[in-house]
Amino acid sequence: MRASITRGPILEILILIVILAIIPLALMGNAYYELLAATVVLFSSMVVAWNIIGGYAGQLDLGAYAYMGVGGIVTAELWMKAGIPPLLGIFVGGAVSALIAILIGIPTFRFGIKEVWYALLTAALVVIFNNISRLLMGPFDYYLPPTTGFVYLKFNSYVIVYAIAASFLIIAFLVNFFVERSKMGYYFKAIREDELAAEMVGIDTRRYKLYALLLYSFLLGVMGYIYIVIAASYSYRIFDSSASLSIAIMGIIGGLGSVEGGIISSMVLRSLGEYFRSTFGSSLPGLDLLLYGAVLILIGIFQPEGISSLINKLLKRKG
Amino acid sequence: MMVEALLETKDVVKRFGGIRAVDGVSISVERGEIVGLIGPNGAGKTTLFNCITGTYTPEEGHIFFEGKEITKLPSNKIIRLGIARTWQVVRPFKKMSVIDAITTGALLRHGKIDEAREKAREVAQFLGLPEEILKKRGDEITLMQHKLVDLARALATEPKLLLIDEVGAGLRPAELNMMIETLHKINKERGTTLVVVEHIMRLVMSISKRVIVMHEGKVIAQGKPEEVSNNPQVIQAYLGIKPV
Amino acid sequence: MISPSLVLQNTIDGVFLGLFYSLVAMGLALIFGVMDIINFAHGDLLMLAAYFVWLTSADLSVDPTVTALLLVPLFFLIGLSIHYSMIQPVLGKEPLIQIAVTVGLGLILQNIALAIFKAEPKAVAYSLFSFSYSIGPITLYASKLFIAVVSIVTLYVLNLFLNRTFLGLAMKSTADNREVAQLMGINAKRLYALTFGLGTALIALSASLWMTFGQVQPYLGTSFSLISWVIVAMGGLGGVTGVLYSGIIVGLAESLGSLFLTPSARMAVVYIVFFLVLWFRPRGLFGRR
Repeated sequence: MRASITRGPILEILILIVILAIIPLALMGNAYYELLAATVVLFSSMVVAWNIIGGYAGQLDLGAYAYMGVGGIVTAELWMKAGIPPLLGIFVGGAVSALIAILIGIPTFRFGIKEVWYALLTAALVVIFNNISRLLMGPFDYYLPPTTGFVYLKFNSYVIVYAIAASFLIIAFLVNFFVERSKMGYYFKAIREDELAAEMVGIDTRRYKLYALLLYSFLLGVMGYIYIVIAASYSYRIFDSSASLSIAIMGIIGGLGSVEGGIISSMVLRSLGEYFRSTFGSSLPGLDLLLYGAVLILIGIFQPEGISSLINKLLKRKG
Repeated sequence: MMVEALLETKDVVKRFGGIRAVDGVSISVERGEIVGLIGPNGAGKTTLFNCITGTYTPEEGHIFFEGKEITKLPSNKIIRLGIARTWQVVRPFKKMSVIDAITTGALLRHGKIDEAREKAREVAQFLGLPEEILKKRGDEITLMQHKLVDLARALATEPKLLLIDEVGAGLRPAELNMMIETLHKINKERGTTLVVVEHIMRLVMSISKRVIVMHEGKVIAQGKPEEVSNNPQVIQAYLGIKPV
Repeated sequence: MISPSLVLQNTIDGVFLGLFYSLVAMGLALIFGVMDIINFAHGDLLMLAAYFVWLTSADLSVDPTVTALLLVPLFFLIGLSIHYSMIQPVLGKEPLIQIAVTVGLGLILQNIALAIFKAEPKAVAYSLFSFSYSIGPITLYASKLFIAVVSIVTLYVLNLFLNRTFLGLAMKSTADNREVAQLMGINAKRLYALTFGLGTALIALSASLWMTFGQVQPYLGTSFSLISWVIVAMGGLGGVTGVLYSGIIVGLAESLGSLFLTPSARMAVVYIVFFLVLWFRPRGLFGRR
């Protein structure tokens, strides 16, 4: 076998599309599983989007659900309050998320400021939004209108919801693909490897970190509405700290900068997590998060380059 | 009329707490020169480099590059004007391949990846980095190769002035000789002006036509290598004896 | 209208709370200063300790203040074992991995607590300090006063330790300048382990104090983590005094925020302070570096 996990991107995209197309067939029209598959695939696309800021640019962003939640709520509210169809609204949602991200990025991306403040601030951001939105929205669940149709990105069939989640995964994959092969990708990685050395080859590190953050937060903001469509409703609970952490966790377990690793880790672990949740959810809540935490520590200690390097090693040994 | 210097510092002061790490340094570097910058540990040589490249902003004084003041510019703007540097301890991009690391440098002046890659190859070849090294990752090569990669990454930004910080540290004698040749070659064939901070006297004395000596943040002597090495003040600084 | 006596009451409460917060954050600040690591599981360790307190007091009817005597050494050992099993192996690695490991630890602790104790908050029914004094319109709760006093005494002792003992000075000088400390012949490995142990032991003390009036639930750690980060961000590397001042600012922000806005907005006020500090004084209000 010659195909290395880092090579043959066109082939990879094709494989990804084929796998994503086979999944609904395998589910044999079971609506519950279709919805679950959509959840897992959307989660995966968030992890792939995270790879831009975390994997390439090396900034430990722990605020995924803040950007996602804001984008989703903005899109939903625009539809319900102003009649703007979500197909358009998702871009506004993405833009609002990106705007918030810039406000976070500007103070923390200055050169020479410790990485950890960015991690702290983004972790805090989720909690802040949770609190603020609870103040503004109360403890209620808001349901989307029953209307369906393409401009609302809302359908009666879960297979189509799944297909939309799957296309977001492919979009996120493609964005990564183009980033990695552009000047931006080189500069992001240089910043991740050594920020001072990156400055010394003339990189405006702050500007490039902001670019990474913009791409990532915009993608997540756009995905937010799909998250709400899958859940059918939204509340302040969309700003979920643990879920936010698990996005970064999957990215790290997959291997920083490895889209494939991120997809594999998120799909496998999230599916396993969902299985735990449905089997032990009432007696042992949080078993899924326990699993993520444990795998993360093991990876951090024994395989800090993630499962992608593990797979690469295996492939090398065989080939 | 005087010829405009490539680099000129005027009374540069950089403090850390109460210590004046750089204490009123005025030097000038002409185009095409190789200047040695020597002095005991803690003399302020590296700090001066950091001031020139914008890593630190000096509290007092001015720095000019090609007659343009760069004292308060951010690093990336200074690098773009044509200054580059290397460090005593190598700073590789460990998880990138060697060619990618050098390409990152080349991207400063070549926006297209293919062009930058070509430039990176040219620089690597110029420094004698073998082809099979280029595909390796930053954490898979030897110290000497690391030093060459750091040099290549800096050269790929096409600097007019290259600041080299203790490139000889940790090298074996044979490697040191190669490094001396390489520095000469960079200066001669690419016309790059070099300022070389060095502890290894053999290296400094054999490549620089002019040596600047720093001690406790101040320039205490400058001139031809043989003049400087006979200067009593310099000898005192190195031996640590205070004049009575 | 908000009466002046209410403002005064909240100011006093805020200062007391702030002193307690300083103690909560001190362990984190110490570890950050010496080892350059932010422990994301900081608050979750506090939550764990709080459950220990609840268990001993509910089953053995021991007062939380007494439990501290047992818990502090126990958590010193827990700190050491966490250090040797998870922190030491990642010390040389990139910051992102270092942070990630402690994030994983926090998640594990949270969800173990959730599995064992479920989500309902637990509180200790009885405490030695459940009475209060009234001075005019102001009420002083003995438990809050007690906590404030214990916190400030502990911080004072810690300050003495950092300035007067060899080990303390070694920690302090490592925090000031890593290279110099190594030149002085300080054994960094052992120092790191002791620092992590000490930082964790301080958490146990804070948890014991918290349980004299507070409740514990699996997510208690999140709010304490956030408060500690804010305090460390503000305090920078300003040592014990920096942490103390920052703690009081946070305590006041929370207490007055809940008075002037709404009680549920009080944490939002704290985070906004955090944000402003990062924006305008990224190296902390009292930092030296």
